[in-house]
Amino acid sequence: MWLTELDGSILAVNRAMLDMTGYTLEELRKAGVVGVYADTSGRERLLKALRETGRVRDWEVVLKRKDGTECTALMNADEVEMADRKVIFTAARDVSEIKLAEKALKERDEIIGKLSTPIIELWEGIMLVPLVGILNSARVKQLNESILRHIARGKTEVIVMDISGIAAIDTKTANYILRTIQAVRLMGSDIIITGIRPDVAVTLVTLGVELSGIVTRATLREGLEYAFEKLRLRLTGG
Amino acid sequence: MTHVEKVMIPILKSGDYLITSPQVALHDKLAVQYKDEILERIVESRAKGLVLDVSAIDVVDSFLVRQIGEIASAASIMGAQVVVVGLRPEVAMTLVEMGLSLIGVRTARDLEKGMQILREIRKQ
Repeated sequence: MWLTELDGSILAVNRAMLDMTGYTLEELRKAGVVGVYADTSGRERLLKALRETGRVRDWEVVLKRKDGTECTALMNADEVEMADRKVIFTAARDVSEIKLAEKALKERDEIIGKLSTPIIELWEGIMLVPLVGILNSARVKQLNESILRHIARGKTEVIVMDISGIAAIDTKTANYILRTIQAVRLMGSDIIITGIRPDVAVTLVTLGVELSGIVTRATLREGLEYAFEKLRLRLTGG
Repeated sequence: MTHVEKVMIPILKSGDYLITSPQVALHDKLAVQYKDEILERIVESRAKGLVLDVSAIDVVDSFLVRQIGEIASAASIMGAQVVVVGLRPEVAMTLVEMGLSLIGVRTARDLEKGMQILREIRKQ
């Protein structure tokens, strides 16, 4: 917690704040509070918000410690009138660790997402996209991006998307997949859906998802046959 | 008769086919001029097909899509097939999101594929 003038000079500061920033009381007195903000506009924005509403709650700001490291803090600030002048009362809470954990979690989710939606080159020009597990909108979005980027890199003639490992599908996800299919076509590649399980098929029909014009096959095997035919490849027994 | 302003986008001829690839942003006026010039060139050169490479286009709007559609239908009436190649992922997605489809327009991945498609159509 600290109590400052509008210009940033320190009136009072508690132990916790000194520990958090690594400065001593004397240093803060001398330098003022402005230097504690990693970004000088940080305090200006805080002051602006404070002027507009008189109080600020859970304001996220990056502070710079004495040793140069940065920490993310949530701030509550109030404009208080004291002895006929306005001062700012600020309480900050260090949330760096929470932020780091959030970031790590997000990164991990992305990695899992990438691993769980691989694009495998089965044959020259034939890409297999096996989908397993639960499809949520975040995963479908990532899938859409990686498929389209893959096509943009060239070489992809036919994409075989096998959804036999999909547990359930909702309208939003299904529609997003449909849009992906349309985009794939626009980019000049072909796409085929295989392995639609009975319950998924029933869901798609009940949801009224428009599947016309989309090539589907019951099994991955038939899907591959379609892809080979499309590329005028023939398997010869020997 | 008004003089048709020449658009600074080259339209190249290769055998029976025309190849063109706009490298500048096609704002509305330019798009219309471009369309007119392409159609004129098709008549002039008696081309049997046109490959429109849009790999340099990163933003599309409904107007531009309509112009491309018109190029394709007009060209087809005049006996030339149009293949649009090189749509970028984000452009393809925008078209889908906007519900705009390139009706009657063939698409292909790149110039090479586009030419192949034109040749196949001719053989049939």
